[in-house]
Amino acid sequence: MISNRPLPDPNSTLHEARDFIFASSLTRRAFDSSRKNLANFVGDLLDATHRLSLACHLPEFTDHGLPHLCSLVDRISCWGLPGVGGTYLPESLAPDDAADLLVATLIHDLGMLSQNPCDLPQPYSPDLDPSQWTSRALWVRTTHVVRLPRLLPRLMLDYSKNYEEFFDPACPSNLLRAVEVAMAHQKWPWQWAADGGLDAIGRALAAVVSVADLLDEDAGRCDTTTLLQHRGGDELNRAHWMRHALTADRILITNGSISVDVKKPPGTTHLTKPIYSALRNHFRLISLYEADLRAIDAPITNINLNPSTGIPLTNTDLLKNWNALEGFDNESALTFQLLRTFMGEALKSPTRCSQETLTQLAVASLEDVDLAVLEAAQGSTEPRSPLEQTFEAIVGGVS
Amino acid sequence: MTGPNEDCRTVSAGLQYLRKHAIDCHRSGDGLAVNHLATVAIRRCGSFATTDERKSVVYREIQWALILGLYWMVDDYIFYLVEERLKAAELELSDDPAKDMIVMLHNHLNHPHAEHKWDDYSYPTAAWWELQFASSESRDELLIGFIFLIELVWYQSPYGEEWKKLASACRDSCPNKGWQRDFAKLEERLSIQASLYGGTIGQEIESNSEKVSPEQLLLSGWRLYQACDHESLAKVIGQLNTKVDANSAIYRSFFTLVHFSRMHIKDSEDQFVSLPRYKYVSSKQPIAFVIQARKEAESEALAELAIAGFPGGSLGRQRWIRFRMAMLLQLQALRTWDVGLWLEGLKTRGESRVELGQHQDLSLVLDGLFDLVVSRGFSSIEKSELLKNRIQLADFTNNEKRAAFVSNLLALPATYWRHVADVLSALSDAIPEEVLSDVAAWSVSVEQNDLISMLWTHSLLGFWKEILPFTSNSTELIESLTPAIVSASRKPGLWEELHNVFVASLANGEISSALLLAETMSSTQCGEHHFVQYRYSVFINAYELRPELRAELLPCLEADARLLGNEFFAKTLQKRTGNDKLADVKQLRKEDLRSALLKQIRDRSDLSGTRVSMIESTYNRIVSFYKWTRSDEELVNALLEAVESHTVLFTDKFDYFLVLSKLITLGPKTQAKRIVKRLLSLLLNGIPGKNFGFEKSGPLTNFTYSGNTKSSLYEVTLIGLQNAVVAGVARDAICNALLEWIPGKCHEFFPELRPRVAKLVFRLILDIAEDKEDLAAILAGHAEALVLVSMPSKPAEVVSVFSQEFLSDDGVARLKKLSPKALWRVTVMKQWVVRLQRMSKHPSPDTRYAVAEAVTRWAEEELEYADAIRPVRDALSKDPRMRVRKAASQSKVS
Repeated sequence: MISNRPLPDPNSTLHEARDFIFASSLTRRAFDSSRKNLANFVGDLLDATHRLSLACHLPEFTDHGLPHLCSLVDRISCWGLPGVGGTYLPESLAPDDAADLLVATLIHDLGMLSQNPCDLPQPYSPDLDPSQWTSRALWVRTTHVVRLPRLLPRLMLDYSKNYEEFFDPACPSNLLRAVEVAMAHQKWPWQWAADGGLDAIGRALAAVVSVADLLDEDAGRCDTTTLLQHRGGDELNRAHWMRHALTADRILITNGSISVDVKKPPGTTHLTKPIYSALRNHFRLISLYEADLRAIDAPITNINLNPSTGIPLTNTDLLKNWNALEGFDNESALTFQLLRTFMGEALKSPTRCSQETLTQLAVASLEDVDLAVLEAAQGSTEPRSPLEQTFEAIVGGVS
Repeated sequence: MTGPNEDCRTVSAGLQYLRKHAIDCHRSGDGLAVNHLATVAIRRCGSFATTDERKSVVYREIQWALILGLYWMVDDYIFYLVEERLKAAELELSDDPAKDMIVMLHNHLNHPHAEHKWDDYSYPTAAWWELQFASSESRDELLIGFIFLIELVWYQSPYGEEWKKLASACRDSCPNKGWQRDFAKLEERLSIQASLYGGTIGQEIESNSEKVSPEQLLLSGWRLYQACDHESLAKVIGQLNTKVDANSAIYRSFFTLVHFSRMHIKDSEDQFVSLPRYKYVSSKQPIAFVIQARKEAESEALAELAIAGFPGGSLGRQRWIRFRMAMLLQLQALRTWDVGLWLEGLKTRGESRVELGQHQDLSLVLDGLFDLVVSRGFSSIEKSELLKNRIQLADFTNNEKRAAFVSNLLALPATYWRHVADVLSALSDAIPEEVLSDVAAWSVSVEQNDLISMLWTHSLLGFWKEILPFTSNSTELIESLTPAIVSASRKPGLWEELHNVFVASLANGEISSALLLAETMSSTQCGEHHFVQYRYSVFINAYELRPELRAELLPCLEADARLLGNEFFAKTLQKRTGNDKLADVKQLRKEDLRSALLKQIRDRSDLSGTRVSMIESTYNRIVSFYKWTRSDEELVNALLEAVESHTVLFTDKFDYFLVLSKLITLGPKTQAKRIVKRLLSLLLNGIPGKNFGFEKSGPLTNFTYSGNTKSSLYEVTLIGLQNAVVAGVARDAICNALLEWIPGKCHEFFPELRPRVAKLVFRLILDIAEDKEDLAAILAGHAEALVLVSMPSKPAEVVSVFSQEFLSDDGVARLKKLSPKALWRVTVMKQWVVRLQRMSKHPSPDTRYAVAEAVTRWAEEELEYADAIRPVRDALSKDPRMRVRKAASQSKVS
C-alpha cells in the first residue's frame, strides 16, 4: 500500500534537546530572571547551535553540539549540594545568576562549531591567523574561546535585533558576564585573577561550567565503536574516542561528591597503569575549583575513583579489538596514544607545565604518572614525527 | 623482560606499521615521507639485529625500507644506511630474487658506469612469486623494486638486452595479472623513451585521433618541437589543454612542453603569469619537494666542487651525488613523460660526465658533451671558458669515438642544429677527417633549410673557418660546400661572420667555384659601409693569396674603396696592387692630416668627461701612409700632453698612443727617443686618465664604467717600445726601465699583456747579447720570471712570442752568429726545451699549435738540443688537431 508518509523532521534532535533543556531546573530558574527576551534568546541559541553542528562540525572533534550541552545542563541541574536537605544548585542561585550560568554553559563551546577567522578579536596577533596553522582543527580548538565575544552577537543578531541589549555594556540586562564566564573555562582559576573581570559569583559560575565540562568524560560522549570502525582519523583521534570508553557511566554530582568507575580494554595489564593514573588525575583536577565553588556553597568535597590506584579490574567491551587498530599493536603503543590525549596538568608533566602550575596543582593531590613510554617515543634530543613516535611506541623498550 | 620471539614480533609490528605508511606515501608521491620512514626503520633495525634470528627477521621486515629508501634517495645518507645494512646482513648474490634485486639496485646506484655481472643473478620464477603471495601481506615493494631495477639497467644501456631480459622474466613469471600489465607497460614506455637519449623521440603518433591519450599527445608534441614544426605543435598543445587540469599529475609535464616552445607559438601565454602558476600548483604536489630536494643536493655538490676548483683526486662524494641526483631526476621525469624535467636532469648528467671524464675515462667527455647538446645545456660556448676547456679534452679521445660522436651529432633534429654547430666549432680541426665530408653534407642541407631562420641565426657555416685552412682535402670540401657558401655570400649581413670561410674558399677552392663565389659577392648590391668593408677585406685577402683571381677581384675592390670613400682603403689597395686608379679618392695632404689630428686632440680635451659616446678616429689608420722625416714638435707635444693628462678619457687616449707608437718608426730618431722616454715613464709610473662616468651629478658620480681600455693603452705602449727596439732607438733606456719594472711590478701587471713584455725582453736579449752578455743573462732571468707568471693563463701566447723572437728568420740568424755557450743562451734554450716538451701535451690546441710551430722551426734549423726537440715534433705530427699536424710539418714561423 502506498501512502504519503510524512518524512521525519530533520530538526527532531533540536526539538528534543530544546524541550529537555527548557524543562531543566537550571533553565526554569534562569527564566525567572527579569531579562526580557531571554527565553527567545535561549531557544534561538539552541537553534543556532544545531545548525552549526550539522554544517560545520569537524570530524576530528568529539561532540560539542546539543547532546553535549544537554549533558552539561543536566549535570548542573542535578548538582546536589553538600549537606542535609537535598538542595540542588539551580535552586540556590539568584535567577540572574542562573541565567548567566545557563547561557555560559550553552555558549562555552560555540567556537568549536564555527571556523570563521572574522571573529578573531581585532586587532589580533599574527600567531592566531589561520594561515599560520597547518591543522584547521588545532586552530579552531586554540581560538574557540577568543572568538566567542564576536561570534555570539554575529550569530544571534541574525535572529533578532531585540538581542542587542544582551551585548550592550550600558544595558543592565546584558549577558556580557555570561560570555566572560564561558570564556573562563579555557583557563585555570589562578589565571582568572589576571583577567580581573569576574566577581566572586562570576568565578563560582565559571567553576561550575568548567567542572561540568571536565566531568563530561563518559562513553556517552561519543559512539566509540562506530567511530573506530568507520571514521577516518589518525592515532590521536582514535585515542580520544577510546578514552571516553574507559569511563562507562555518566558522572553526576551528588551531595557534593562524585563517583567514577573506570574500565579497561580487555587483555591489558599493569603496563597500561599510566593511563589510569592520568585519568584519575583528570577527575582530581576539579579540586582546583573548590575554593570558588564554595562561594555558592557547591564544593565537591569527595572524589571517589574506582579503582583509586592501579588498573581497573573490569573490561569494557567497547574496546575488545583494540590491538587490531593501526598504531595500537600492543600495550606500549596503547599507553602512548592514550597518554597523548591528556592535558599536561593531568599528567603532572614538568615539561608541559610551568613551575607555577605545578605548585598550584598541589591542592589537587594528583598521583604521579609514569611518563616513560611517552618520553621514550617523543625523543629526548630532537622531536620526532608523529609516525615515528607511534613506531617507537610500538617497539617500546626492545633493544 | 620479554623473550626473543616476543621482541621479534614487537619489532615486526612496528616495522609493518611504518611499511604501510611508506607504501601509502609512495603512491601519493610523497618521497620525503618515504625517505624519512625508511631511514627510521633501517636505523632502528641496525641496533636491533644483534643475533642471527633477529637479523633474518629484520632483513625480511625491512626489504621495503631498503627498496623504497633507494628509490626515493634525495642525498647520499640513505645510500650509506642501506649499504651498512646490506653489509651487516652479509648479502651477496644468492638464490633469492628479492635479495638479488636489492643488491643489484645498490650496485647500479653505486657504480652506474660499470658493467654488472648477471651470470649468477636469480631471476624471479613463478614458484618464487607464488611463495611471495602465499601470505596475505601485500608485497608491493617487490613490484616497486623490480620496476626500479629495470629502469636502472635500462638507464645504463637503453638499447641493451639486459633490461629487456629482466623485464620479460618478471612479466612472464609473475602470476598477478595487474603486475604483469605493469611490467608490460614499463617495457613499452622504456622502448619508446630509449630514443630520447639519441636526441629524437622515436615514434610518430597519430595525434588527430580522439582516443589518443595525453601521454601520447605529449610525445607527439615533443617530436614536433624537435622538428621545429611549430604550427602543428600549437595544435597539439591546444588539444592537450582540453585534457589537462592544473591539479592533474600530468600538468607538470604539459607545462614544460609549453614553456620550451613558448617563443615559437603564437598567442602563447605570458610567462610572467604562467611560471608563478606552475610553481604554485607544483608546490601542492609532494613529488615537487622530492624534485627540489634532489636539485638542491646536486647544486650544493656542484658548489663545493666549483669552490675547490674541480680538483682531480678528491671530492668523489660530491661527484657521486651530482651524477646520481641527475639519474634519479631523469628516471622520475620519464615516469610521467616530463621531458622538460628529463632535459634538466640530462644537462646535469652531461656536466657531470664531462667533469668526471677529466679525471677518469675520457670517453665520458664525449658522452657528456652529447648530453649537453641534447639538453641544450649551454647557450653559447663563447661565453663559457670552462666548457671550452672541457671540449678540448675531446681532442685526446680515440679517433673512432670522436668520429662516432660527430656522426651522432649530425643525426640530431633541427632544434639542436645551433648547438651542434657550437660543438663543431669548438672541435673544429679535431673533427676526424674521415667524417668531414658528412659534416659538409650536413652543413649544406642545414643552410638550405628554411628552418634555420627559426633558430635565431642566419648561418651555421662559421665553424668551417677553423677547418678549411688546415684540412688536407680542403678543395674537395669546399666543392661540396659551395652551394651553401655561395648562397650565404648573397647576404651582406653574413660577410663579417663568414669572412674567413669566404677567404678560405676563394684561396683553396676549385677555380670555377672560387670565381663563382667572387662573382656572386661582387654582384650583390650593398649600400651600407658597415658591410662593404668586410667584402673589401675578403677580397683584399684573396687577392694576396690567389693570383688567378686578381683580375676578377680588382674591379670590385676599386669600387668598394670608392664606395667606402675612406683613403685608408684606397691607400691599402694602392699599396697591395700597385695601381693608382684610386688616386682620385679624396686623400688628405699631410698638412691637413696634422691639422685634423691636432684639432681632434683639442676638441676631445674640451669634451672630456662629458661625452657619452665614443667617436672613432680614422686618422691613426692612415698615419703610416705618410712620410714623417722631420721632427714634428707641435704634434708630438700635443699627443704626449694628451696621453699624460689626468683629465682626458682613456678611450680617447687609445688613438693618441697608436699614433705615437707609429711615429716612433716613421719619424727621426731624436723624436723617437723623446717619445720612448715618455712612454717608459708612463709604463713605470702608470697611465693617468679618466673613465666614463655614470652621471654628472648625484650619488653615482664617482662610479665609472669598467672596461679593458686601460689594458689596451698599455698594450699599445708596449708595441711602441717594441718598435723602438727593432728600430734600435733608446735600447738602453728601455732595458734599464725593464730591469727596474719587472721585479717590482710585473706580477701586478695585466696578465694578458705579460707575454708582450716577454716578447720585448726576448728581443732585447738578442739585440744586446753580442756586446753585453752579462746583461743579457740578467734579462734572461727576468724573462724566465715573466714566462712563469704568464704561462698559467696565456700559454699559447708565451710560446708564440718566444718563437717570434728566437725562431724567426732574424732570430735564428742571430742565434747562429752568437756564442752557443753564453750563459743567457744556455739558460733560455735549455729551459725552453723542457718547456716545449711539456707544453706539447697541453689540453689547449692553440698552445700545441704554437709549440708545433716552434719545434718545427727549431728542428729544421738544427739549433742546440735539436735531438730532444725532434721527438716532440714527431709526436705533434700525429696530433688530433689538423692545424697542429700541419704546423709540425711546415717551416716558417708566421
